[in-house]
Amino acid sequence: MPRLRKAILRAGHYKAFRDEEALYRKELADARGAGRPSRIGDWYAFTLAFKAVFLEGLEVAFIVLTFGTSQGSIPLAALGAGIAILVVVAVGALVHQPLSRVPENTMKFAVGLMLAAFGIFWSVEGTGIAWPGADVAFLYNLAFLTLIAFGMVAVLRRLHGRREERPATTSANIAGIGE
Amino acid sequence: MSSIMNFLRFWYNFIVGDDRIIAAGVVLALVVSAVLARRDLNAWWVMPVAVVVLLAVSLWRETRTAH
Repeated sequence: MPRLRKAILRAGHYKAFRDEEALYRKELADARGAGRPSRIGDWYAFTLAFKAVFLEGLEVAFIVLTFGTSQGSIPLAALGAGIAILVVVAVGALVHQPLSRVPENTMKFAVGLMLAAFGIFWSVEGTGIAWPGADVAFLYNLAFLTLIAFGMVAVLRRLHGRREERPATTSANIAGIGE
Repeated sequence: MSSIMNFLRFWYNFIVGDDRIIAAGVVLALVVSAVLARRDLNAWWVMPVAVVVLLAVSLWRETRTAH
């Protein structure tokens, strides 16, 4: 939910958007200033790649074990993860662009919605309650949350717009124009 | 000492996040759901309603304090 909250605040103009292009340039400058590769190799690049692969790999392993165990088929879950890795590698090789090109703020909004929907679905199942429509409940939860989130964004934008107009009106009144 | 504090801060931010009211509200909604489930009531609606109410309250508080 914190992720969804932040995404709604960003979309509603109550929180600043992250400048992905600036962040990319900063990371690039840091990487270039990290020193030259030694005889052993480029440790900076190695550490960055290792951290990313280790973290994501661990996450994939947890997901495979969780889904595989609950459905009674770890090989099938592992096969799904393997196919996903191939797809990601293929897309990465084809696109070959910095991640700053990805509309991150939009993606975070979608991720926030997905996480909140999964959280609601699994936490309720964990209490022993059966969802009407079984697994389809995830989809209607997602649709419901999406509608609510878009509604909240619209309300926040309207509030923000009014707040932006207020100082102008006040100064107009002071100058006697608004009377 | 600072590394221990950083470690604790990380877990606090990871579990509680920006808004303590949301974290407390979600725990409360889970408890209510579990209690109702024990009484054979299929209270699947408690959590979605709680999420919407908590989000609305949290956003409202944020907009009041925003400049």
